[in-house]
Amino acid sequence: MGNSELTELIAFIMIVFMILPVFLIFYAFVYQKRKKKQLLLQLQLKEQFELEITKTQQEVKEQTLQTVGADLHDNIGQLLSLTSLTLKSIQDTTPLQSDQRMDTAIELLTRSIKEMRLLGKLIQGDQLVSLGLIVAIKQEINWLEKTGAYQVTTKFPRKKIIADPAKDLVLFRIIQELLQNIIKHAQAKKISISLSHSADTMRLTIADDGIGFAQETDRVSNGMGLSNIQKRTALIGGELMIVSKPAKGSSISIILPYAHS
Amino acid sequence: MSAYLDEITIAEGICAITGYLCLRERKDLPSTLLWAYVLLIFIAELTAVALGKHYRNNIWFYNLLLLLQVSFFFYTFQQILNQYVKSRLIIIVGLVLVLVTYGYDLINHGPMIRHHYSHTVFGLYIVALSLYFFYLQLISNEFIDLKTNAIFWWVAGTLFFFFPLSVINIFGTPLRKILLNADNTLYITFKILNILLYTSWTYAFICKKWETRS
Repeated sequence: MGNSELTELIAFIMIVFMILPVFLIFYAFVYQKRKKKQLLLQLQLKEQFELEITKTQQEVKEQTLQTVGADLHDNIGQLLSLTSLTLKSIQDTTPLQSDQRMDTAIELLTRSIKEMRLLGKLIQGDQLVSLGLIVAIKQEINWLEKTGAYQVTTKFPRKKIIADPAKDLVLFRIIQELLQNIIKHAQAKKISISLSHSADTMRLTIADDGIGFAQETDRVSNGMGLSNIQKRTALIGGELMIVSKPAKGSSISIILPYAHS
Repeated sequence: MSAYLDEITIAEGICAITGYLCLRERKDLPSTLLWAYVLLIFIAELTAVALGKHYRNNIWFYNLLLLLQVSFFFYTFQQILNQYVKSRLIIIVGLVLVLVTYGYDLINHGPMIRHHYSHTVFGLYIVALSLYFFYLQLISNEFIDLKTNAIFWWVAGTLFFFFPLSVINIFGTPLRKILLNADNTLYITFKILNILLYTSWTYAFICKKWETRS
């Protein structure tokens, strides 16, 4: 090998060793660019999540107000009308009948006050969720049972569940939506709600003995809003499972990661 | 004066002035050391050229200068790596390795011959520290805009310099045996590496100035 060839060889080796750090720096740039994309995506998802939480809070409030409105009209309104009628009828009665009607009016008013107090609790809406998911669900069931149209059975864990406020709120809204679906579409008589908590997951199942639906065809087209529920479940990292057949009722389960109690 | 100036000293001079202009408002020790070191090297380089011209042998001076380089680079790398990990042990191990080889060179070859082993060990350790820094920066969750990141460009310049220099340190001696004009070729390479180092550091100083403004 000649002198010039050796010089070229050395130059080549040197260039190779100089290029190696260049490659490294180029890779660092590419990697940081990827990291930036990933962080932006995470930020977007976080913003989306927060937006969805705000929307959910709003929906819970709206749902609560609807329940309150319906209750004022159907329950307290009726009680007060009845009280008014009872009091009006007093003037044409004997003292004995008058006393009896006064007692009835007092009883009706007492019931109205009781109902108003219950409404007061419900009107707190999303604040109810902050007391615990189970407390909020029980309150929801309370109103469902009051209609007298459903036989509701529940199963809740004995141990206290560590609260995850964001997840609880979304889950509570999902429960509200599922119960509304049952009321509007299922024609059910029995509803069962179970909540279980094992390891790092939580499982919620709401089942009814209603008319059910064919999953493949009815799920989206029947306006039951299941896609919305699915979206919300995915948002809190959960999985939605639907089991339903026409005339065989339906069972909807949600499994989601949740801190251990 | 022009007899003392060459490509390396000019690059050092520009870098030192830029460093001073960009970092004079920062009173912390690491920032001050960054430009003060380049200034010291610039003065040392001029002194070495003068020594070479008058006494022919200035190698003892470069051997002495290595101690300053070791102190500066290990201190700065400790500051840099501390952002991600506790680097004290890594730095102490490196320091001990370099000082042991420095002692070996001094005892076996004396101060008038280039301390080859300590230069090589020091260079390799700095390459390892630079690569470790890049690795830590890559695995951190934080996004860093590398285009204007002063520390990144400082380490990049260091790597650009020490990576090929370590190759020269390792293969330089056998190459000189087979190649007549090896010294000349290696000196040109050494000049290019120095220019790369000081260009990168100059840019790092400018980035540091931008960071101070923002």
